[in-house]
Amino acid sequence: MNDAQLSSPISALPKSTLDQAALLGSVLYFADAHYGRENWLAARDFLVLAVKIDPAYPRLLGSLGSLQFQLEEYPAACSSFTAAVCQCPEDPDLHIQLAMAHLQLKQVAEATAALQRSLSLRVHNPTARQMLGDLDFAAKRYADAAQQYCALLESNPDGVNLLLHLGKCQYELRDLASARWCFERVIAVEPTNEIASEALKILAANGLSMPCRSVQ
Amino acid sequence: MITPTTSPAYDLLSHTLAFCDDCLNRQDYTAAWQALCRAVSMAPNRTDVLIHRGHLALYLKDTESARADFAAALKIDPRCSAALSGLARYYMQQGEPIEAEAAADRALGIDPADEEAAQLKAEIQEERCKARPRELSRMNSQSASGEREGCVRNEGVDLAPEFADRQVSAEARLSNCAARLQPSEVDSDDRPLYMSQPSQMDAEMPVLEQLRIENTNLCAFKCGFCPREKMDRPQGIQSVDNFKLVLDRVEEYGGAFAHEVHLHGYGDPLLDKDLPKKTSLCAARWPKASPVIISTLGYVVSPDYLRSLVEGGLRRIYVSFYGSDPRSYLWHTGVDRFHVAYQNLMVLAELKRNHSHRLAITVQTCLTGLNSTLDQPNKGEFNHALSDLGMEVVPFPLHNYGNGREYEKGPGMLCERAIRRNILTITWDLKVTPCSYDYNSSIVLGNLETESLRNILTNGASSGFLANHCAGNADVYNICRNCSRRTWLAQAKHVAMNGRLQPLLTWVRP
Repeated sequence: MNDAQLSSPISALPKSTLDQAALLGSVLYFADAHYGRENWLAARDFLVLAVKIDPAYPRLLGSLGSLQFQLEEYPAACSSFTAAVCQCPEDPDLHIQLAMAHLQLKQVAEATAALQRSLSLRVHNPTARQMLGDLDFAAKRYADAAQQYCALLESNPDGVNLLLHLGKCQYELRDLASARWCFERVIAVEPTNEIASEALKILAANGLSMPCRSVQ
Repeated sequence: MITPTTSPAYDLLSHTLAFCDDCLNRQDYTAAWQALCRAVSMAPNRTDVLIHRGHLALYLKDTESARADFAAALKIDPRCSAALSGLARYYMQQGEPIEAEAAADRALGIDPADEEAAQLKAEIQEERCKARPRELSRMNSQSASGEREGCVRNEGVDLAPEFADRQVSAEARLSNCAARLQPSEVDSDDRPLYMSQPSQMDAEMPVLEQLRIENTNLCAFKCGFCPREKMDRPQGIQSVDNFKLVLDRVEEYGGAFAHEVHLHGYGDPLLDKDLPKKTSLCAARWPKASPVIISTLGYVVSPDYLRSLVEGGLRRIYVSFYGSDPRSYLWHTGVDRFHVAYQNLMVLAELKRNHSHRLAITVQTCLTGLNSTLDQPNKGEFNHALSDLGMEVVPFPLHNYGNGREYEKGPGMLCERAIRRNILTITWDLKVTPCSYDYNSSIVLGNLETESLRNILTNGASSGFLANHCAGNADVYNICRNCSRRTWLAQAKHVAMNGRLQPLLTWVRP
């Protein structure tokens, strides 16, 4: 297939195709071909067309949403993921993708709800937990954030960024022994970490403020 | 799961729990709660942490969180007595003493030194001792005045002076009853004294604490443990009019009923199209009663039917779900209805989500005691999935229906059921029988169609049945001869002779 043949979704359609399944197959073939050549816009157009032909086709909406997200078309990606979630409400990954789109649109409440749905569908879900924790942390909901980070410790006990965030949360919650443990753990993993060193000094002096330049 | 040997974060868990204790000492419950939430996140499989949080939730009146934590602990370790006693405390706070006592009994069965469960049992007994004279006096007042409704309105009101002496006499009767159970009073043939004094027990009218109204004895299942092929009594479904008559008779006897009302019998209650109507009638007439059913759910009914049951006032459903896949279900029940039952169960789960404060679902998923060689690889997963939907999953303790089946013959002398006369069993055609295991109604004490309940419970058949059981002559009844429940009470007798008396009166629930 040459570039001219791939130029337009409509013109590329085989004229004799009447059967819907065959038509859909052709459209998806073109979408794949464009995607393989990194022609994202054309691939997206074919996927849009495919959705119009068969809106219930599995995973089509999710793929379209991903492509739109990649093209930074966040409102469209959000719509596609929303439709995909309606189609497959039990898929935890779709909820995460929807949350990411919402976040790009600064729709924090919607993103939080989507992440919580994802977590309820799959308890062991580090991505959703990390995102939820970060959202809570940014909103200074330290208790909620700490809860998410604590759950992540099992799978990532030496994660420096995770331990720094958790230490900051524990400090804000006045659980100073736990905070100290987190920062000491960071030093054990990464002896030159300045933030942890500074935090430990402040903790030792029972200071009132905490460093958070890279933790924010 | 964070454990001392596998995770460096174990120290963090210790710090967090220490911080929680510190918060509790400072009475900063919010911070303590948050710390426990972090601890649970770190160690979701630690039952002690879950139970700790459950108790704090109870203290903070967050009963649903408490229930969820105790249930989660039990899911991890079904023999965790601390979780069971926590659950018992939850039921107590919910005003469900029967469930509370059952959970406390289970806790004590696992760990007899469980102080929380023992304390709870003592509280329940104390409440019962307070309530029993009140009920007896109420019955006396009803008898004296002949006014049925008076019994209802007397509740919660101080007794009139003229009934005070009756209350005293009722308390004296209870004291006498307790005195008869003293371990030192054992006669020469090694039996507690009360066994040789049936006439004293006859003198008391039983206070009803549970009704079992059989709405139908029809069932299409062929479960191996159930002697359906031996049942040749008439089969049918109780009419709504007859159901109302049962309510009338019971109310006439003891006033408005305020305990469990089982709306099922030897058949499957879902075969009764009027069951929602009966449930509503019961709930409307006796708001403090708790309508209960046991069902296989293996019959095609509409979601509306199940919804109307729940909205009509059904408080608890025990689901007999014997099998975790179609093959094992067929093996146990003899019918290929796994999918029907499962679909109905999911409808109930949805209803529970919407009516969680009202409906409790207990799924009996396996039969303890029945030797099944059937491989059920997904059984654990299946049970966990049901628990995740908020259902309690328990094994069903097998019994032999008296002479219904050959296994588990009971060599014991006594029967709890004769002593526990506070359970009233009524068949679909209004016969009063002493025991729900009597699948063929071979012992009939009377018929509510023609007699009052008071007459039935004082007639010769009733007092003879009780006297024979109290004298250790239960073998005269064919159905009782090999009953597996008599074994259990023989054990209770042994406990009683070693100074532990309470189980005789509050033995294993049927």
